[in-house]
Amino acid sequence: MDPQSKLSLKQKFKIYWPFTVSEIQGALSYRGRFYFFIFARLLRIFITYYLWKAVFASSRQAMLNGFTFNNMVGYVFISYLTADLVNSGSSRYIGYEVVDGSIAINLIRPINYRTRIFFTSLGSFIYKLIMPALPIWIGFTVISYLSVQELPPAFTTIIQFLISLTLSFLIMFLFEFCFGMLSFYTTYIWGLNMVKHSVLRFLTGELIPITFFPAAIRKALNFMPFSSMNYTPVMVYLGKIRGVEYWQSIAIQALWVVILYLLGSFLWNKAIKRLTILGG
Amino acid sequence: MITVENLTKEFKSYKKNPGFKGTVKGLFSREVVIKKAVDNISFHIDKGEIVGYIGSNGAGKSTTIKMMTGILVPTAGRCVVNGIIPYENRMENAQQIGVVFGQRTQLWWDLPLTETFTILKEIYNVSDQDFKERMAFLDQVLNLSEFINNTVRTLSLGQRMRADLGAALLHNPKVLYLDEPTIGLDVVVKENIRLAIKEINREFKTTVVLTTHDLGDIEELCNRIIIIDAGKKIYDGDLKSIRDTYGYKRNMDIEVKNADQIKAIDFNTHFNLPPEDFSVEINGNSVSVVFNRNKISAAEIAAVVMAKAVVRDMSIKETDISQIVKKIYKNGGELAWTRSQS
Ligand SMILES: Nc1ncnc2c1ncn2[C@@H]1O[C@H](COP(=O)(O)OP(=O)(O)O)[C@@H](O)[C@H]1O
Ligand SMILES: [Mg+2]
Repeated sequence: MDPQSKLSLKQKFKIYWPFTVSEIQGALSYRGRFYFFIFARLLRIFITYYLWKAVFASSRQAMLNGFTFNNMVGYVFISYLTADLVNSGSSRYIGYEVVDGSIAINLIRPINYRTRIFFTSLGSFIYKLIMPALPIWIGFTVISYLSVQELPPAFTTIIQFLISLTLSFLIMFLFEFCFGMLSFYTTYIWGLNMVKHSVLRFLTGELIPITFFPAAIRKALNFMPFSSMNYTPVMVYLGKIRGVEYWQSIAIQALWVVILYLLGSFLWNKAIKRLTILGG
Repeated sequence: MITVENLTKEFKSYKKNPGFKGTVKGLFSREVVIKKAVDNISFHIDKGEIVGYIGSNGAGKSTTIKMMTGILVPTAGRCVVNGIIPYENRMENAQQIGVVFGQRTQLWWDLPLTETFTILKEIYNVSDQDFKERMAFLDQVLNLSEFINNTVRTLSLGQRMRADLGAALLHNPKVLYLDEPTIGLDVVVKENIRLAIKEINREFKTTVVLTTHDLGDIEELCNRIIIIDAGKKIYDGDLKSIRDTYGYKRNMDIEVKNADQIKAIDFNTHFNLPPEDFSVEINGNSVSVVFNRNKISAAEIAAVVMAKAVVRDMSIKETDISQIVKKIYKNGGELAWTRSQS
């Protein structure tokens, strides 16, 4: 059926890798915008930092929900970096292609649209990892050591974190793809995207660790993919998820990858017929 | 090679009421407007044919092409291309077709052209040997090497169209769909594109379906044309009968000061030509003359007119598709000799 199933992995890679490269090159050519983003991001990190500082100062306990103040600082930094890394904004990208009709290019070629978009997202993941994430992480680690003598996590923890981070990236990408399918049904995808962005910042634990949520909400979140998108890798980094619990969390992340992958295929097959109504 | 049976495509859209009130109203009750872009069309195209699929703007040409290429799913009817139903087996179908949409590029905007060809080589699984030969051939007919290292977004329209055509042909498709491939191009590039299409058809027996409203494209390329209007097929046959009827036709538009002066002229005494070779239509102060340039020259007509009337403006045009379409309707489809379907 699918002529691409005959292709080797290497061939597939050769087909889609240029999209990754092009995305990286594109990002490099807009460096000005890029520095602005880093600045905006750092500003947000510092605002949250002072917020938590105030919270801890006004509390009589040194620990809140299992977090020391230093833990919380680590959480703020790492969760912002993770959130930035894993979110590739694919749904917005798909929205553009559907609205201006350039999605048709991908339909007359024997390529898989989702794989194509995935490799574009991979490009943004790679440059964000090298460019703002790594320097910010190094800066944060050095300052933590100098100010409160806090050492970075053990090497194995970092590896475990990277595995979980990769899964988060996959989950987020697949989720974004599913969300992007909405652009076949509504021209109001921009507005929906804004709402989604705000809701996600909350539900993924980017703003506040999920342990701070009321028990009922935490229970409900257990059945949703959101904590797998950000909260899990951050908690792994902080050493709060480890041992058996680590592997359980990884299994849950992997499960979400499978579920969202299947859901995405299903939605794509539905949506592509819908293109008939919106036109091409 | 291509069989189209009772193909129909309806577009549903919702009537939008203006203003804020209209928008709010639209949220609750939506008036559906159904537009039949393609209406029960059938035809069959054999391997190696070059078929001109023509009609005026909005006739439904692109919509038909989109269904044949697998981008759109028909509302009713079906089409089969080389044994494959395009919109059901999109990937398989894509493997054997090449597509150029004149109004929008099929190339990836951000990539250099060389990169695009390298990707296409992998996508279509073209061997190194074939790739080399094909690129040499394409370069020869389309002069791609002039701009092969540029990014697609930096190409001029003519270059882009040549690149698009090259990219559609790299894998030696069995069917080539060209939707207005010469739109907006200057005469030289137009000619190059036409020559390339001809060459490819001859060399590889590629079946070509070409939409256009440029009669020049058709005259040079097609041995058969299908004319559609408002989504319906109104003619399917060889070009010859169309050419015999319209190929020598010219249109002269004359703007006069006073139409009565024209009405007073008895053209019959001057030329004595049958109405299919010479006809005059007066509309207010504008006069439209349709004539056969093999029977009478524009200069002769102008001389007679200018001797009797004050002329403000005058222009001569070749007949265009919309006039042919009008004429076919007028003749009650007399010309519409339709091929038997197989
Ligand atoms: N996506 C769409 N939604 C609604 N109407 C459409 C859509 N696409 C095309 N149409 C309408 O269908 C008719 C045929 O369009 P098209 O096939 O593009 O014409 P052509 O290519 O012959 O100029 C036009 O009236 C056009 O307005
Ligand atoms: Mg068109």
